[in-house]
Amino acid sequence: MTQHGDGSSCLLRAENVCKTYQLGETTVQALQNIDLEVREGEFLALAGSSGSGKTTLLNLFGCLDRPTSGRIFVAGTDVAELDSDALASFRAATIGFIFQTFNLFPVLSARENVEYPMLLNKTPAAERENRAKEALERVGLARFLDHRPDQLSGGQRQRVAIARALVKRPKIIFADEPTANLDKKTAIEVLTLMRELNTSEKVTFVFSTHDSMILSLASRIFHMSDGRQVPAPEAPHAH
Amino acid sequence: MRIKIAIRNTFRNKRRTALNVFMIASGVTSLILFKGFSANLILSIREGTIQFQYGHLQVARDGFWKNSAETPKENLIPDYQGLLKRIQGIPTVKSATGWIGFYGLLGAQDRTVGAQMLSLDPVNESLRLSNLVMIEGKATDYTGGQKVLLGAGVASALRAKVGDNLNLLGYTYDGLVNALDIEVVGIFKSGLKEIDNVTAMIPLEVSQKLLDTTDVEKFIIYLKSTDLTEQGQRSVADILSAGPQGLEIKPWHELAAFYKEVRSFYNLYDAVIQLIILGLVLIGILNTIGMSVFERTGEMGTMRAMGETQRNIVRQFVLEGAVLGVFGGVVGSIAGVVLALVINAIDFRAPMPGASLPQRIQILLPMWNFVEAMALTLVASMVAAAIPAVRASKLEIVDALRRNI
Ligand SMILES: Nc1ncnc2c1ncn2[C@@H]1O[C@H](COP(=O)(O)OP(=O)(O)O)[C@@H](O)[C@H]1O
Ligand SMILES: [Mg+2]
Repeated sequence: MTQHGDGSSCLLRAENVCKTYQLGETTVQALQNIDLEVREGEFLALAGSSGSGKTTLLNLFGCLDRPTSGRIFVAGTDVAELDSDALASFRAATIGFIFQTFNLFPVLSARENVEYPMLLNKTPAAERENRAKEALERVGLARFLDHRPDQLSGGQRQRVAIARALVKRPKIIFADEPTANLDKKTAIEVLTLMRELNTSEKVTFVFSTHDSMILSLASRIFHMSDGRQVPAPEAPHAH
Repeated sequence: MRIKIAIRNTFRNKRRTALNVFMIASGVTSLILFKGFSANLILSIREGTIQFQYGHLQVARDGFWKNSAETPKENLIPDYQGLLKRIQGIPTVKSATGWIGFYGLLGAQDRTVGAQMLSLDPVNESLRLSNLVMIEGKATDYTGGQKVLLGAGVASALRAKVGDNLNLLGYTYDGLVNALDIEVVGIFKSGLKEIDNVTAMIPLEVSQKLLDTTDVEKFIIYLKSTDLTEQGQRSVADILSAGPQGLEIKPWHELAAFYKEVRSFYNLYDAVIQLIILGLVLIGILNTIGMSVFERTGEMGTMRAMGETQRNIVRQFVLEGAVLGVFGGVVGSIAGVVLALVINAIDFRAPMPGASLPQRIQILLPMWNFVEAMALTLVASMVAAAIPAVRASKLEIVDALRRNI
């Protein structure tokens, strides 16, 4: 891991990353020459309008997809060197995900949803249950352990998803538009919770949003447009 | 936890699961009923073959089996009474009797019909006698003496009725023509037309009198159960080894060529029907399971993002197929037992190949049929889950994730 002058180490690095999609005759340049470093403990926002490449970049960092060119390093590992099984266990050990659509398993209770990632690394049942309970308490859902997703509000569901991402103590959590399906108030609550966990649990967060309100909570903002990094736009005029 | 997840996912879509369970259960029920039916059919053909034709074991001279003797007389077992007594004393033996078969001419007024005249002992072969269905006359009137039971085909060729006196003509072992008067006391159907058309049954002593001998051609031995065949054969062999030379034992399964053919035919027939039933089950559930898997592509994306391997995901879906298969198997087995008991309770008869009388339909329910039916449908439902799951798990993770709405 690269050591920086300020003592924190580089957790994620994209080096001249390009991603193109072939759609029949046309080639879509989803990402063009992206260079980005994320240090441990950051709470980084990827900002940009719809179609600017935020999801594509998160997918590459999250080892869900591979770049067309350039290199991706996650926690010091060049992910191009891992085959799909190795990537799966790398993700299981190192990376947490939070999704815009929550993606909880509808047949499982909140607690069971949070237990699920620990099944993958064969955590014993008793420990799984305890840690899931703790994680849900940590996100303020102590009273909802046995609720199914359809018995929870959107904000509560996203909190379960946060607990699920957090419970395996990953180095980093990626959140693609975590608040896009939530109302403004809940969105801010959810992001505030993520920010708290960022500090208290020392987990690095990288999230994407196109909501400027949410951006104000980020420790740093990476602006994107048409697959490229762009300078911060002028502060928008208040309506 | 994996099994718990599989069970909950299985019952996620109630209507669809009910449909799948219904289809798997119908498959299991049909397999159980069909296998039970054909097991009973084969068993009744086997028992019929033993009881009406061969007995469990037969003992005769080598020459009799090989047709190698110069004259029929050399095939006779002399002084057989002591040997027969000892065989009758074996605990697994139910009864044993001497036997002679010869070709005789039966004459009635203006008609003469040739028939295979077979010994039937009214006492020692009472079961065989009681298994003959009398379409005229009573089996109880066949008590020995100069009496004959005619096969239905023989009787109609002779236009003979119960109470008629027939003239029986045959050659003695010394080549002389001899004749006797015998009384028709019954006309039977044995269950096999081939037999009814060419045979008549007479007491051994009548044959011996006509053929002028005190010997027999063979012993027919009935055991207490067909399962005891090997054990019985060994006991009889022990007794023979101490007795006269040149006698050979044949068990029923060496004698009954027809039964062997029937059996191997039914085995093939069973396999084809089972394959068809399984194919129907597979086709029936493949579509609905495929839909469920397809709808959960997004979920698969989530699982893989969290670090599940493709293999584990397929395994999870196959586990769900197994849950469905076990559930359908239990439901189908219960339905199978209930239906079988209902069918067995009804006296339901149907004509069967080779049988001259409609046979009662019975469904046997051996444990093995349940095991086999459930195992086969379990495999079918696991395959039905594996096919779409393998296909869906091949999708790129990012594409799968996009299916979450
Ligand atoms: N699987 C794909 N096939 C083709 N084009 C895609 C695919 N995924 C994304 N794109 C395109 O890449 C660009 C960036 O998309 P995305 O990363 O989803 O942007 P954002 O998340 O910022 O809205 C868009 O033009 C989008 O249409
Ligand atoms: Mg996006």
